[in-house]
Amino acid sequence: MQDNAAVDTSSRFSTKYIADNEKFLGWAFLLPAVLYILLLVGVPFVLAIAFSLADVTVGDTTLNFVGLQNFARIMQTPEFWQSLRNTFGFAITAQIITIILANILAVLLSSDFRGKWFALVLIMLPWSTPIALGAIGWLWLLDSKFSPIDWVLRYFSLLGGEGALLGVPKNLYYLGKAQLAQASIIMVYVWRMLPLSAVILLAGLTSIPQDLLDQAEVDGSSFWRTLFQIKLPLILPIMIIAILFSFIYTVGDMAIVFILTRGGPVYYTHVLPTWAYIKGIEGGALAEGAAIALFIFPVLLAAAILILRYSRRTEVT
Amino acid sequence: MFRLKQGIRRFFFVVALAFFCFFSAAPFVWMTITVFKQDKDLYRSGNNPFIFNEPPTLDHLRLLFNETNYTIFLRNSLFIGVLVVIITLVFALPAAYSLARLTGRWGERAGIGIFLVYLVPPTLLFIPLSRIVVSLGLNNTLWALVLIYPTISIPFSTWLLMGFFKSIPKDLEEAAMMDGYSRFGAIMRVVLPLSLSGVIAVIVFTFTLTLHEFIYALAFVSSSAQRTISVGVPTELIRGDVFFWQSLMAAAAIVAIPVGIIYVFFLDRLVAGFTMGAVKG
Amino acid sequence: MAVIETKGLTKYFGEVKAVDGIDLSIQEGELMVILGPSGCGKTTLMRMIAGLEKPTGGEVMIAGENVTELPPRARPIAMVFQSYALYPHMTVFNNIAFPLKARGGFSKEELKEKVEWAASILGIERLLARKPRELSGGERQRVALSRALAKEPGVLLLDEPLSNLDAKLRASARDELQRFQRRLGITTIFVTHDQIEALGMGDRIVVMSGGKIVQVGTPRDVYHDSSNVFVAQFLGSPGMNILEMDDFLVGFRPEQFTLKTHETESDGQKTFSFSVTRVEYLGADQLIYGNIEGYEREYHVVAKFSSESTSIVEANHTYEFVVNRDQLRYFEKQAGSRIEPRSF
Repeated sequence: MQDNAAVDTSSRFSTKYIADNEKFLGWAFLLPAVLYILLLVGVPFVLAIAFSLADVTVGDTTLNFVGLQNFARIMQTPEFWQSLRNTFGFAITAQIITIILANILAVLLSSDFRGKWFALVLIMLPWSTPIALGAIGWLWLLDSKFSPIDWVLRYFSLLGGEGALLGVPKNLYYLGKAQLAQASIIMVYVWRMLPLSAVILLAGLTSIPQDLLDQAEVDGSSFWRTLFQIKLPLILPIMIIAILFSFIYTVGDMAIVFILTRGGPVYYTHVLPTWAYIKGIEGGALAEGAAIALFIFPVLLAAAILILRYSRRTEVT
Repeated sequence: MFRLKQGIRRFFFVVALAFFCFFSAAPFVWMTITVFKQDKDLYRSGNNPFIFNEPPTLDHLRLLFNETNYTIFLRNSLFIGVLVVIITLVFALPAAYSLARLTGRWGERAGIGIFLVYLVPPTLLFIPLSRIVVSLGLNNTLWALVLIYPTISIPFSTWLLMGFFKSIPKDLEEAAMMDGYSRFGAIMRVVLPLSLSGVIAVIVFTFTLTLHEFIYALAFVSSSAQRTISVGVPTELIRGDVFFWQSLMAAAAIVAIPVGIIYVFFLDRLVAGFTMGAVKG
Repeated sequence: MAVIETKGLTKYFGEVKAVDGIDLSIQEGELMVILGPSGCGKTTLMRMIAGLEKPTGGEVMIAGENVTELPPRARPIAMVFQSYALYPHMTVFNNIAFPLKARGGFSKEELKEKVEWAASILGIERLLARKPRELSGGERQRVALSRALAKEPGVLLLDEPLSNLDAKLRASARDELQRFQRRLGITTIFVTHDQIEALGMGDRIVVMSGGKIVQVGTPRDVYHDSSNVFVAQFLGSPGMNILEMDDFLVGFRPEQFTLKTHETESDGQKTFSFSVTRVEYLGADQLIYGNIEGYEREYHVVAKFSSESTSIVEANHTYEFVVNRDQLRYFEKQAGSRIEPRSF
């Protein structure tokens, strides 16, 4: 795009031709959206920081600055540390599993087969449907008594009864035991993010010039060699974008944990957003809630900067 | 030998694909089966959960529509969705055009700014926003969500439409200007008609976004009559420890499955939005 | 009377001077070609005349009125874009009707009549119901021209309108375009980087380089009396051979560099010893590449013969070649501008 704004000649246009004035239109078009965002994202963001440094509660919303007291107070609770560990533990583990599965899925989807459209609909469901509703489906799938997964395990005698591999009780209580609940939540995160990562990678794969792949074939490269030495290196920047987006969504989500466990058992599956909600909205301690939520910000910022960097790189190729 | 190898590869391909389809669809399949089960079938742990041990029933659907607030949630979500789509288009269309065509260096920076905003998750802002909503007198009303949802949808839509506008040749607008229209007239008569599919994609994404959103709806609205699908279903249909599982599953499946199908038509646009148009899907 | 006049027209893009002080005047009914290599500012100049680009300085006058501040729609001009810029979502009829609808005030019948008139000039009446994607390159060009004519502009601007056509079609399109311009007598500015188009079509040619006008004149003037070594080398295929002497440049056209046939060298001829390195056969013509010997340095030059010529030359032989002295052109060494004949 030519940089027309660099030379200022706009003021010479009269109001009669205001609908032709590029500079006027440019700002008139952009400003409403920018103001909307500034007022309802920028202001709350500043407010979030202000809250975290003050002693506001639902009952008393006057801002009395107390420095880092809120941060000191939340850091004394084991719930906070557990939430912090979980937030990043869940996100990182889920990302590793997601990206491996997404690569496999993208390669599968890059070939043509009958019924591909239907397969795409099924595979996209976790991303395309409201997560709260999907999570309810999982809640019922992982039910402590009626989980069909338990039924299948029992059917194959892996569960319930003497000498069963997974134990004597008739149920595994997926969401009732700390480690199993954490694993279940990670699985639902993977389930949720897999479609998005896979279609982004799929787009990357299909954007590789056919010339290059033909050349590789002429050079006698096998399927696996082409995949690992040509396709995957070429889509690496896009893969990183997929990972980062997926990471941001996972870190910022609270619906999955909130619906599946509400942080339980005890507080072993809390993540920062759910803990902030319990503290700030349900408990009314706005300041502490804001402080807890702010902990995800530095990581988000880093991820955002990386996304910008890698997006630039993909644009060059 | 070669054919054998191909056969094996084909076998693994089908198995792998079936696994992914099953993994993704499992909760929805399970939902759909559950909806039509009678209580005495569902709540007997010895029963094979995948078949109908008792005749299927529509009782739970009836319960859902007649004795719960489900229809109110549907209406609320529709109401919010339509209004947010309109607001989003009003703000995002001009902004995207401006960023694609008109502004210079500052515009580029504003574009990156808008992109960064679309990475800010609601979980970071819901606490201060809940106070802003209260001070505007909008707490406990749908209008709070109508006001706040565009902060998520405008950045995403602006980003998506910007890529779309950039793909329309500048010549066409200039030709319209030579033909006697103002810049504004050229946008209305040439650019907008040509970006119709982008506008439709934005409508779909914005609408699904309002359906998906959970945390603002949970934090700003607490009265049952003002709740959306996403929050109403998990909070209202579960009372304490009493789960109306079949109705709950029906409530989820009725919304989830149609939305899921419509979504697939717009996959390419979705991908373009996430990769900043670097990849043509 | 001059229909279009520019005074000191200047355009900067940031620090880059795209167009640098252009004074130009174009007469009623004239077909003026703006010729130059890519990046010389010719398209920017045309876009400023059209009103699509705001000048950094200077003025544009159309029909005696200062239009510098006016947007395109307030100027009596039409333009055909290099891409033709046909609206893909409209039929040919609606494409041609588009500028008329912009002006407004036409009844349905008048609109139909006008569109059919504009279409008939280019002979595309049968295409009116089609969409642009169903048209060939040549048909698209005609639709674009019809659309430009529909509003009966005072000036027609053409931005490389032939460059999207394949080579064969281009020759006939050139002919058609010129006949059409003559018939309507419409003042036309034609921007191109193709010297054959420029020489073949222009009443006058403006040669531009580095944002400035280098020469304005009839095709014959600019070809035979190039005012500048740039023009001399840019025009012709291949361009003028230039020999660099101690304090000046001397040049001659490849077709004027011929094999010496008479033993006696008349005063009117300059003889060179020409060592041929390669002969390129091009069908109608042949190009002879080689070096001129007998000077302090070696000069690579080209001669152009008709293939029918009786003169036979072969590679790796040396011949005596001549140029008529009145065909030699002399230029300043630094600035490159034309100077009086020198002896060498």
